[in-house]
Amino acid sequence: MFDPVGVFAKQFTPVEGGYLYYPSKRGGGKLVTADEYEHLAEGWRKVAGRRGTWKIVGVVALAIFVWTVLSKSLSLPEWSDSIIIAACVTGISAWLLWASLAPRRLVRDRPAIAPPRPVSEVKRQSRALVNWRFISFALLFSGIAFLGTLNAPQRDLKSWCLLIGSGAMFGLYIWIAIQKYRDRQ
Amino acid sequence: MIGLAFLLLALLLVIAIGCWNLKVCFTKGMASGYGRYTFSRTSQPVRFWISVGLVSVVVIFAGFIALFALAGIIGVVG
Repeated sequence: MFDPVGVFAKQFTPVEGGYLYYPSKRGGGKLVTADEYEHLAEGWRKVAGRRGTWKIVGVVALAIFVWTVLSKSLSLPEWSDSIIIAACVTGISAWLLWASLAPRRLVRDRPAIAPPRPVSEVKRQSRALVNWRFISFALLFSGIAFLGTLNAPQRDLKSWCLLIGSGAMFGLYIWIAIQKYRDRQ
Repeated sequence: MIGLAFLLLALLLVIAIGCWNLKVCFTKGMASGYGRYTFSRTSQPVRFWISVGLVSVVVIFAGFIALFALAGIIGVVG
């Protein structure tokens, strides 16, 4: 359903002398040589490939296990568990974002060799990357969360946040699905 | 971009829930398996917690795969 390596590769357009890479929505395209592209793709494959992902899951599971043993041995309060899990998820996500922005760091000081793309074209390209399975997953996930919280017997801050968040996500992905359908025509 | 941000938050939530369940599995599994910590007669057998733990690992794995795909898309959108 999700192809992280394929999506990463789609950021680069083959041109004469290497690949064209657009570091931002409004910026021009910059040149990345074939060697640099291979190096970037290999780096991303190590992080986001099957083996890399299992490695991350293993590290997370091991960290949680060690923490569980430590917190039980030292009788630490329960709120410390939430902090450790939040730190774990935030740390890994920050590292992941850092890895995904490697091409941007590489071309930061390079001059643009192609003009910026029209905004409508960028949007169409980004919608093309989000495949129908991805949209179905988002719709199903947010739809279940939205309908589940809609029937909640009591309304507290948490259920309001879930209701508004899942409702907004559900609505947005319906809109994205309509736009994507219109792109086909 | 807002849609991607919402999905990013949702995926982080899924991963956090998976991690939390894994933590609960370790705690309950150790308690029911070895009796080292407070043994509870109402707790489930170890194999139940192993099953829940494995499901949690799969959930975390799926969450990370989706997160990686999303990071790639965010790279294109800029």
